[in-house]
Amino acid sequence: MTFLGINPITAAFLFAAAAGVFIILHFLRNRYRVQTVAGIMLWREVIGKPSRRMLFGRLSALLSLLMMLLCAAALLAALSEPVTPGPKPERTVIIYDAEGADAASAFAENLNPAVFAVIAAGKTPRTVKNFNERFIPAARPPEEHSELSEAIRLAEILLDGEPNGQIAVFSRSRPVFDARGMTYHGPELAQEMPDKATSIRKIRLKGNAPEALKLLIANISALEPVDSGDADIVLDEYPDFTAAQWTDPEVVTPYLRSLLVDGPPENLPIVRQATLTELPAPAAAKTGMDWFNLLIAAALLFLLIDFVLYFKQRIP
Amino acid sequence: MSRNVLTNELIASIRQLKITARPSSLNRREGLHDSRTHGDSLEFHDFRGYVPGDDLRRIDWNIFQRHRKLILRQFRHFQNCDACIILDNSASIHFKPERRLAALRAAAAIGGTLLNQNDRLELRVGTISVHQYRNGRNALPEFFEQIEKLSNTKATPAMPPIPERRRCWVISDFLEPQGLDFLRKRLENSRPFTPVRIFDNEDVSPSLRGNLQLTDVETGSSCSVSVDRDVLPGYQAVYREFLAIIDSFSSRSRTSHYMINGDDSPARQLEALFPGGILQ
Repeated sequence: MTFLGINPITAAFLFAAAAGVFIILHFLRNRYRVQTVAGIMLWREVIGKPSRRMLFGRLSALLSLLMMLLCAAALLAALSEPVTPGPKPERTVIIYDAEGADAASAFAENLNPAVFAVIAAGKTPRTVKNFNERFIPAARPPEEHSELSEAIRLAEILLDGEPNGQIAVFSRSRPVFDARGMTYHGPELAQEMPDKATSIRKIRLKGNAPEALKLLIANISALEPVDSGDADIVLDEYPDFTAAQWTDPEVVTPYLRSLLVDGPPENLPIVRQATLTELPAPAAAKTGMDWFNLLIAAALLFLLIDFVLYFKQRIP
Repeated sequence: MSRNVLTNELIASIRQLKITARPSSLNRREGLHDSRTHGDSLEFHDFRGYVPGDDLRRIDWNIFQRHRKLILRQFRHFQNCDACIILDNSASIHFKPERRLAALRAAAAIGGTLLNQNDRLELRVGTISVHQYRNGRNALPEFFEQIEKLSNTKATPAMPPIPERRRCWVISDFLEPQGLDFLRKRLENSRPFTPVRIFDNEDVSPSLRGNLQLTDVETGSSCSVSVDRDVLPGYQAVYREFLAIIDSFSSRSRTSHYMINGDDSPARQLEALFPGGILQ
């Protein structure tokens, strides 16, 4: 589990402080006030015969304290934004550049056969191998400056909204895709390969990107037709696609996938186009915060009920 | 002399009260209060038919001569009451002025009525003093003055023992710091007396709330209790048990359990003790 919010150690200190305050308040609230009475005979008898309701009344003070401590713990846990690892990725697209090639190779070996495709980042990203090859040769990409954003867009298209898909980036370059709202969690992969990973990023895709599909088809339109037995649409038929079909992932995606799975050509060129900047931004990243928001709401509700019950008990 | 306890109106009311006596095998001195039995005074009361065993001297022979029936003449019997009032002078009675005044007024009402009926009276205040009044009505001013003086006395710890062979009233709150069982045993082993219990509204339904360390004003001992709405039913049940113990004792003593609320007006307190102006 990783924490995106406040440091767990800081959270622990804050919890200790909050617990101290709550315990002091608890004892202040339950302190005994000295009261002189004409006789304690009857009160002694009352204490000597504790009823079930009285017992609950005594326990309720302790339960109230526990509830407040739980509330504090839930609040701090929410502020630390813990993220639990999702289901194991079924398909991974690896992006690497010259600096991350060794790490990517080692990572791919461990990950097989989940590797869907490998993209060598460079000035022009290209697919290196498809997913069903058992071994990724350390194909070294061009040494020039890597366009990681282009490579990532290509990886997005290849994964086609795969819910458990991931993109692993091995590079020293600082990626630019975070500005688009994508979620990437480096630490998880860094823990898996701490000695080899130079800069590892994992991207979880949210939904399909029809515009990107259009772009990809435009990019590969210059290639020779590929005979795809399972494909619904062969490459040379694509000019007949209607405008609606271009934007319909259910039409385009099987075609592209069959194309890539059955044998995407190596060194597939991706032409940089002006439309790249018009790609729709993915949905906002979701974290584990939602559950804790619910927990906080529940805890605050419990607190409210607790205080209402407390004052209701004390009102004659 | 300024009066804190007894107003002239209250004293006038006390003079109108009556106490009926139970027959006593020991006291043959004639008093002025009416007895529930019939006796041998000169004052005619009623006729009744003869039954075997009746004193033949009481048969009205004139009636027999006229109607040939045996009819007995009945005369009123005036019995003397040798009484004792034990006044609790503990710190619990002194806890509130209302409780203290109620106790003194009850003592004044019972004692004043007894003296007004020409009885002999002994007033025991805690363990500190014993006052005897043998002059009947003539001792009334002295008795009332003593009651006024008692309003300024300090609390004393213990209750005096119940005297033997006297009709006795114990004016107390009957709060035993040792608990209900102690009170029950103490009453079981006690000589008969008429309990006159002093209480206030706080005893019946306490206004205490929250976490409290209750300290007994009498002994200084304390207990911790969280008083809330859930605890109060338990208190009420214990209070009823407390009343039942005193009720049971008063039944065994063939008398009543009188309850004087210190928060009531003096007139209402008097009415609680002398319902209809008569205390039996």
